[in-house]
Amino acid sequence: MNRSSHRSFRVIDLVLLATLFVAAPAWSESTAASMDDEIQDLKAEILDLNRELFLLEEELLFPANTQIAIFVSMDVGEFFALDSVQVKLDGKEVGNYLYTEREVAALHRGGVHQLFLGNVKTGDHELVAIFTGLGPHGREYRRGATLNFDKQIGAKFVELRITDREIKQQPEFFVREWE
Amino acid sequence: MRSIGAQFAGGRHGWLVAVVLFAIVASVQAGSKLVGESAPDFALKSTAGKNLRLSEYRGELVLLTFWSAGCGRCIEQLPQLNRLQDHYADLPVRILSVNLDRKLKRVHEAETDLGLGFPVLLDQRKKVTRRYDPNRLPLTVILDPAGVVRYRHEGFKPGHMDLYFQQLDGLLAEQAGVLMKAGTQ
Repeated sequence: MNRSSHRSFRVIDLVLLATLFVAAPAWSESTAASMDDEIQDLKAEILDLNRELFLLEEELLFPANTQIAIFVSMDVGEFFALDSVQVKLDGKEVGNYLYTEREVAALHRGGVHQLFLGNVKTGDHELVAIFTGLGPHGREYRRGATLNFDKQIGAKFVELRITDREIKQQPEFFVREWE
Repeated sequence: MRSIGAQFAGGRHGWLVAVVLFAIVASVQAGSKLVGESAPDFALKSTAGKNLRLSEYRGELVLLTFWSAGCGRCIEQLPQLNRLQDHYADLPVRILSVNLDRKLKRVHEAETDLGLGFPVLLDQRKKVTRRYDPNRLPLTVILDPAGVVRYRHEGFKPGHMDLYFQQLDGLLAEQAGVLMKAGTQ
């Protein structure tokens, strides 16, 4: 190989190197941007998958035919400061929930709390809810409410509702089925 | 020539080696229980009459300590946690204590005598304590803002307080780093 061809190879090397230096930042920026997009897509896919898994798990653990869900709600609540709710289904305690100030405030604002989600066989059942807290004049208050219901095929939703009875200046507790 | 371990293992001290090894493994496992996992959530009534739920403290560092009025080390540790609370008063660090005693009077007396400035939660039925599975008291766990158990300490020895400060400072620095990173993105 003669000296001139050697020189031309060196020039080509330098040109390639310069091209690499000029192109590299642009290439890395575009790669980073596309990788970022890919990561965001993957994150979205994972969230979708997680939601689907959650729904599948719910369907598997609590099939609609045997499902029973118990909710707690509150209307006004001036005569009662809720502390806890205990739920017994056919004599067996299935839920006992202690409410914090923040949770009670959420109920006052119209929130509904799912206290229990489980399964029961079709047929007759008895549900007893015991509410504890502070009643009028800050006295300790404990009241129970009972619901006898017939579980048919299909999900059953029961609401435990606390309301104020203005005339009596007392709280009232209802257990009712959602149609 | 046989190694020392082999001599012990093969000899009449074999059982002793086994017991010591078992104790070491058990203590290491006990020290790491729940570490790296989400802290079991709970709601308990405090001596002040309020219900507190652990998950409502997400976003803050939580030092949770389980104690009993009859435990000397607990009584030694609790007033020192007041100092820790004062130190982090302006920062998102919360101290919660869970008492295991059955007699409320005893708890109230201890709380007043020690001048505790943080909530004392009552776990008379020990349902919550069982989930944290302490081998000895006090059991102190430090949770990060995501509610994950980052550190666990059983018992209370000299130097533990310095360790709490160190670990909380580390977690605060970690949190500041995360926030700064999020801010620059």
